[in-house]
Amino acid sequence: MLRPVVLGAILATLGVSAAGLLLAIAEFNGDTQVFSWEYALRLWLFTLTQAGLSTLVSLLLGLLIALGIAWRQAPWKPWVMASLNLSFVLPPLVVVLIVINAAGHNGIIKIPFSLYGLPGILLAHSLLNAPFIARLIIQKLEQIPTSECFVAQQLGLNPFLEARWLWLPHIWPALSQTLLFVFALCVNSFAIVLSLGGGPASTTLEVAIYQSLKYDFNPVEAGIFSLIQCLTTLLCGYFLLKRSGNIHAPIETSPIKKASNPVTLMSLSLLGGVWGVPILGFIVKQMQWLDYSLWLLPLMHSLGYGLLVSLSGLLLVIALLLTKKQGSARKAGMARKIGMARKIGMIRKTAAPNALSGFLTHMGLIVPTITLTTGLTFIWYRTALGSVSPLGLILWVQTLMTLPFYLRSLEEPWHRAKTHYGVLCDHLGLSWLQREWLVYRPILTPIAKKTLVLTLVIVMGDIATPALLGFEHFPSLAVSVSQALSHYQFDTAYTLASIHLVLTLILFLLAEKRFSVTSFGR
Amino acid sequence: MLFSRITPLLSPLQERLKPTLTSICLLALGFFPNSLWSSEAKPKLYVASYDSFVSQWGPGPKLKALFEQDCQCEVQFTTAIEGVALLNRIKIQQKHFKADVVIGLDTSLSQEALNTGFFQPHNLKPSIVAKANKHTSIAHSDVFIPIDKGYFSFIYDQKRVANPPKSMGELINSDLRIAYPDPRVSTVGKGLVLWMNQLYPKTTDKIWKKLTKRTLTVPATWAESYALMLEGEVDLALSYHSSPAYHQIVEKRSEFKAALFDEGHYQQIETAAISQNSQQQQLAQDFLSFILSPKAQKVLALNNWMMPVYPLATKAELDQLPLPKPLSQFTPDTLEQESKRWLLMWRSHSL
Repeated sequence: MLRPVVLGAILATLGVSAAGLLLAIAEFNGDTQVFSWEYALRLWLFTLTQAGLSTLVSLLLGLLIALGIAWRQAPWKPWVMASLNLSFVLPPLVVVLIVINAAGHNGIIKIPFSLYGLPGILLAHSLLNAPFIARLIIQKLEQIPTSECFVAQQLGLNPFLEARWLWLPHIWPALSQTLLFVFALCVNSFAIVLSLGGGPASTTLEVAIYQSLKYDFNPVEAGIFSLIQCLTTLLCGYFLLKRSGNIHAPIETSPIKKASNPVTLMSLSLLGGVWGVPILGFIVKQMQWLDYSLWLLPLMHSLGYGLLVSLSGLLLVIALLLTKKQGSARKAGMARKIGMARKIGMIRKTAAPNALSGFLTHMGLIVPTITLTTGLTFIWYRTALGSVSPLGLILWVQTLMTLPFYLRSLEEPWHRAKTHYGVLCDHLGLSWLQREWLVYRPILTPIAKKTLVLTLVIVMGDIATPALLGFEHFPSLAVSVSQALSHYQFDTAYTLASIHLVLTLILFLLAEKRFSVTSFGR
Repeated sequence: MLFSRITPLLSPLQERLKPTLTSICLLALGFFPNSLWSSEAKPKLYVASYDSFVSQWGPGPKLKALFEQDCQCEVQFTTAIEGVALLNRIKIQQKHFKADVVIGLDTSLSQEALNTGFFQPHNLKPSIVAKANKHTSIAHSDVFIPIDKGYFSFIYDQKRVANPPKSMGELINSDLRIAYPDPRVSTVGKGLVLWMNQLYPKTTDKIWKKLTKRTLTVPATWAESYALMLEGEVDLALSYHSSPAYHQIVEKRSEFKAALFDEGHYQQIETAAISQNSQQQQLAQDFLSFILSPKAQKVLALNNWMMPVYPLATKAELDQLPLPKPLSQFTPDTLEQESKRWLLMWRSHSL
């Protein structure tokens, strides 16, 4: 009963949003003043270009960082590895301010180009994505079997051939998926392009949708752009699903080779240059924190709304997973008995995500937040609902957007735990509730806690949803930063952003260090 | 005694409950809307305007405080990021847009605003509006009242720009970097579109292409664009000829100047009007009358940094600013017919 209700609510939201978009598009009468294919094509090309270049630059930076850190065994290694994860949860608007603070006109780093437009977008996207890629490459490089490395040494392969024939086959399957993921993230990037884009010349589809609705009041254009954006992200989602595997794969480190000291030094310097200096410079520059009246209320709102959204998302996913069709564990247990060959077949069958599960896991990418919100905004404001505060709608959309994070981190460990302990539970005669509570809960709780904290951090950084539905209804830290920026209160914006950054770091450390993850969760 | 015995027993429970209690407290603090704190039931006047008008740094809070002293009411603000965005919000929400008074649409938007059917004649006594209309004449004055005015100008820091451009042509052909707000959102940005079309009616498309090379970025709001000039990212930012007065009066800095162009400057007049859905007709009328009073005009001049709609002594730095050469204004009919095309021209030639 619970499952249909939850799925129904999710699908109804998507349906209402789609109806909103279609209603908007239906108003199109062919007037080129309302919609121009030429402009849409330019936007689409720029969207793909910036996403492609951002991915490429992130890959190159990530590769450079990874090569110096992989295979090293040092006390700093766990900290550096943890810091590489940080980029994934940093609020985009804070990243924008860090970039401006570090490389702007009065910044500590002098760069030979303007920050506004394509260069700024590439820089900010690389800052966010390069560490993520570096972490994956390090993990994959350290998983290369020692025997293969010995063979490469005995064959006397030069570094290029070693990279081509030894490293690439191990890295590529996961890396290609990650690159596609990063590409999709850049296609869906909102706050960075909006802040650093620099006008029509550097606008992506995602930002153009927002501009069409909020700037031009052109629902037709917003609707068609949303459709194009959705098709683009669907394509990315299709390839991601096709290559579906676990990006955060289990790691068994095997220190078989050491990078030379100069290379490590270079990598750490690069990482420090990309991360450490800008972040520290940013925090040190802000000394107004004592004026708590400036940030206390936005902080409370951020935490309050963020906790509500991330807890709701977790509860929804638990409801979905608890009420998922039973029996897969039993099937898996049977498979174990039948034999290895059959077992693999059965596990594949039971582990393969169904279409709905796959869709929900990738929903954030396939249905970008801004597209979902555009349709809902159109319906919201065209009905009597427009006169009430859309706070509930903002929270609901954000809750929906958290589902992929939870599903991605909980679904597979849950399934693996069932596969592993299913037969034992059968033999012990444990009821459904007993096995969920006594066996699976202790395994999944640390993962759930960690994901909850990371989701909270991500939700707190979201400005796309409140941007369309109205900033004034959602006075969070990220929104307050955006509003202070648009009132040229730079000091206030920097102070709020610093608070946001410190909060993010604390929560991130809490997630990384406090909530240890069992082998099932990795 | 009993309490001290129970406490050790409870402490593990307290420890376990601590995170939960903290979360609940945070949630509670996060969710209490401000309105719950006030218990007085005064009539509410909903006033819609753009963000910088309503922000703590703008004239909104001061006007609210002044008006509430006499009206026995509560003024509540609703905002959009900029003037054009405010009109867009009215178009989207139509009758569901909750506002008794709308402040900040300028005369270039009057006809478009009128077409929404959202506004009604203000029915103010002629004696109240006569003084303003005499010095600041606007179309549709039965619906809109002028609240402040200014000439669009590029502002520069004379410590960084030693030779400011003396004409728009000189600016376009210079190597200076500029910023201006997005014309689709900001009335200031839209003012530049009108200014360009007034100066170069036949070659506006080519001019935009040239100006794009001088433009570092086109942020959404006037404030973001102006901040880029203050931070030194650009040499000139589009604002008003009266903007330097802010730096002189508030910051005691005299290095910021308005570049005065030989060809002339386009003028902006901001307006206020009463909505058709207003539940507080009398309060709304009182508010418009108050906006035209000398004390409100002074607040506007010294917080919105625009000129009052009739001669009024404010502060010497503002009153003695050199006035730019005025450029003729477009008629409401022309604006209604051409605005959309001009904006599309700007967008397609700024790529």
